[in-house]
Amino acid sequence: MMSEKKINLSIGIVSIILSCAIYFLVPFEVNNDPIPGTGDLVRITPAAIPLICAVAFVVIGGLFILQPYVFSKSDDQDDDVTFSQDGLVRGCVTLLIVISYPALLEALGFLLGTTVILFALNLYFGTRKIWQLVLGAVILPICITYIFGSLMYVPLPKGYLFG
Amino acid sequence: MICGGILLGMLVGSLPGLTATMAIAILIPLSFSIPPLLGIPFLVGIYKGGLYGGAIPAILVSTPGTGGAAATVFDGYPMAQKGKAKKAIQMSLVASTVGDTLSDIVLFMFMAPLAMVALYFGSPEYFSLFVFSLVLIAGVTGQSILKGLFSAFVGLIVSTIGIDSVTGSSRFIFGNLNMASGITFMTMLIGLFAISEILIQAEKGLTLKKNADVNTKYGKQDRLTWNEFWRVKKVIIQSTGIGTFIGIIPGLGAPIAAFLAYSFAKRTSKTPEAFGHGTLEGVAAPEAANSAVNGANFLPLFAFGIPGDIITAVMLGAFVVHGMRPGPDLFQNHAATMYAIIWGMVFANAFLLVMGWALSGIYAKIVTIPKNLLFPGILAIAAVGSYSVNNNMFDVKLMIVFGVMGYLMKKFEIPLAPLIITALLGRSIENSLVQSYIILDGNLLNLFLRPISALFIVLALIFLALAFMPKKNKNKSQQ
Repeated sequence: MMSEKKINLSIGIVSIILSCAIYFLVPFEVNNDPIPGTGDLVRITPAAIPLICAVAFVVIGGLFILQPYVFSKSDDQDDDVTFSQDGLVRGCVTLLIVISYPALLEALGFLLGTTVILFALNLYFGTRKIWQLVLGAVILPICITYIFGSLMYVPLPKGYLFG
Repeated sequence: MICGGILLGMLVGSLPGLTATMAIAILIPLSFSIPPLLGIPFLVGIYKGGLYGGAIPAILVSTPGTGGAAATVFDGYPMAQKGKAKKAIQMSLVASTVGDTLSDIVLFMFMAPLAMVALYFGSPEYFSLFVFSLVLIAGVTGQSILKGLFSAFVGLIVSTIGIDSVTGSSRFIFGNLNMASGITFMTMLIGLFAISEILIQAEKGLTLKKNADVNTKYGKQDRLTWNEFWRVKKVIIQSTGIGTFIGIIPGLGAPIAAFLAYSFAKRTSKTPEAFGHGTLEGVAAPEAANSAVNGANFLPLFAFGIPGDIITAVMLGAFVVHGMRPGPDLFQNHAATMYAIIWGMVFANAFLLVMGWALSGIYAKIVTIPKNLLFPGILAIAAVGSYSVNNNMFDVKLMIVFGVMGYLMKKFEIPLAPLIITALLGRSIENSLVQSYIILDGNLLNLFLRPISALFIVLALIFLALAFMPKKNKNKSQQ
């Protein structure tokens, strides 16, 4: 469980890291020449918005960190965020399955890749009835393939193993 | 198409955990292949159906399907416990339809005049309006304005990725050509809504208790009578007024309208003690208000091109996908299509009334569909939806990145609306900033020399100051 103070501190640190990242990336990733036609009058470059964001993230991050000291708030008003260990494990396993989905799509193609992933997810989420597994992992991908592939002419990935 | 949208919207709304916003985000690719005259009303149908559908689980299983239906639980669920679930659902349907229709009429009457006013706005006025709207949205969509501002700036930095439209130079693409055209908006939406929800539901364990009463007793109950409807007409009208007013103001949205209307109805009722124990007024008030937000929400979008909340931001994306950029030019370039779409919105309410009345029994059963079967399917539809935008696997990977980002933001209660709105409007904000900078001779303080700009900036500053003021008195009163 994280208290609101810890949450604010975390967001504040992320905000400042984001600011630093933008500030250091701008010279390499953003052209800093003035916008054509504005050079004589005013100096504004494509880096303006990223730099405004960098400054804003520092200010916001600082306020997040200082918030408990500057804007005092009674403890009973704290909103906690709960991360249970079981929940985190479930979330991480689901995320791993989700992350492997694009790789499977590229390798096996849409129909087979989706069938494999949906079968794995359904099993992991506790589906045990055969008809539910068939409906969720076989019939659904066939329906989606038909709607998007045949009716809407979306060229779904065929997979390099079979394409 | 409208009927199809309403059917899908009701389905999504009646399933807790799924929102109309998520449904629209996932299904926008389905509307690619049809003209905007059909595609947009299809999405509007999902929106309206979804908003009404949210009341069904609120009444039956005390779990609002959408945020706007949260206040409906107070009296809807007690009515269901008393064996009056059917009456409560029909009351919510009628109140929703009346509220939505009246709000659409307001939209119809005021959008063209407002768009004409918007034509007189120059870049400085637009820039000030953007600033004011963003401060307002950042301040009211979450629990803290800091989180809202953080979200808004994340969206703004996301909008800078890709080729800069003014100079043609690249920004933050890291040598990846897939990012040259910027982040695909649909991919971002699908990730933020669908994938993040899958992760959240997986973390929760994907459980939804079945309510036996829902299946066995629903069909045998009393219907709503004309006299009962006529008795609550005043509540519906006043709640519609509240919902319409709230809808026009950017950032407030359906949940606030519903709670305000509920408390107003309770305060003005002759029998306030009946509220919370299953009264028709307690169902009618939030439902009329949350639906009245619908039409009014489109006013700032159609007139100025600025979405008032998360769902209109998604609809803005849909308009852009169909080659129509909301704002004053919309009525100059697509007037006939726009009026047809708005008439479609009005007719959608009639369809919703008929279909909702006929099918609410079926949707009552849908409430109990197990989530373990539902969410894997959503992953597949989300992936194909993301892929179909550019026929590119990179977008599917990006969808997952935004899904993780959305999950963390939801977990830390950082509102998504400011991020989505700035990500979508970032380029317009940047263009208006650059043009204002040039028009104002490189001094943005000159914004205060233009009355409309000055008004918006002063309002934004006042709102910011109010948001940061210590809330000690409020805390004491709450204790």
